[in-house]
Amino acid sequence: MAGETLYVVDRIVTKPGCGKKFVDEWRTGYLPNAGRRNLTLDNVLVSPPLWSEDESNVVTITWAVEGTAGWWAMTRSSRGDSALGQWWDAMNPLIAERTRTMAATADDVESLADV
Amino acid sequence: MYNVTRVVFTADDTESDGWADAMNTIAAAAESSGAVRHLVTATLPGVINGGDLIVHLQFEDEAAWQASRGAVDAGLHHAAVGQVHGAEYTSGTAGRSRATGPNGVYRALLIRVAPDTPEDTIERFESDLLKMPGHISSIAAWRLSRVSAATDECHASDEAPWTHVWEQEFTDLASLQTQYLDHPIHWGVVDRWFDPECTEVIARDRVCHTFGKLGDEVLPSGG
Repeated sequence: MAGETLYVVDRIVTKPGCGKKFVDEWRTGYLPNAGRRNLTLDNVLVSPPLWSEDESNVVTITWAVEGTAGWWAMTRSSRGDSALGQWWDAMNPLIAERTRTMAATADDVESLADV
Repeated sequence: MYNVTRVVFTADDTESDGWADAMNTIAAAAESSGAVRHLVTATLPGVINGGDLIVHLQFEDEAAWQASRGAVDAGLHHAAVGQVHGAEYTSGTAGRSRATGPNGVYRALLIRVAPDTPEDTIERFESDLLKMPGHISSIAAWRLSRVSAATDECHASDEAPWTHVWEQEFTDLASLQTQYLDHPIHWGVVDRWFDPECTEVIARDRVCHTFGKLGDEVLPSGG
């Protein structure tokens, strides 16, 4: 284990017609402060790749974090920031369901567990 | 086995002589408590909300503790003692591996699970915690218990009490501070229950993460 990149994956299923509104809110309200918490944006995917007034979107946001030390620094920083919870609460009207999971590349799985 | 854990904080403006006297008083109270096993150990640098002294006592049953608690509590009511986190619990799921180390460390994590948490969710949380010893080789012994009585002298009365105690014996301090944190079972699986940005979070309040040097083994292998 030597400084592998870890990934934080947010998967948000928006309520019908709320996909673009959620992404816009996320760009202005969440993304600008993420870097201060050691989160580097890796990717934002939207499925299906179109905005519709009648359909939900699945928004998959992948963040990169450098190593477990960076990951712990990130999560400790986040826990001290009550505004984060308030931001997610404010997004509830746009979100049908969401998850946050941790991941690594398949090539790193064995080395990450070899500690 | 009925267990009593007290995490003791030094009172503000206590001088070293006063604290030394408090530790001696508390150690004497533990020694004469009639506990089947006991551990009184100063905490080591790196604890989080973990106090300055850990007192852990194991009695045959709750009645044995109740017979002794007056003397133990009296020892803790020392002028040099400030806040005390406390938990009392019947032993939960426990185990012991073949790992050993000459510089063992006792560690306790006191947790508050939100009071409205469904039972099946609590059971999944407990199941995840109990996966850790299977992945982290430096955990020589472990025990996860639900708290039956909790105290916390500095918390408001409407705050939920401690609900769980997650205890381990580590082979050494370095492994607690590196392997335990670095292994993906921790940051990739278990931590979601404590992370307010994860939807699974059920332990939102600050935990008590405390540890100190271990002499003889203190956690029984079978609860």
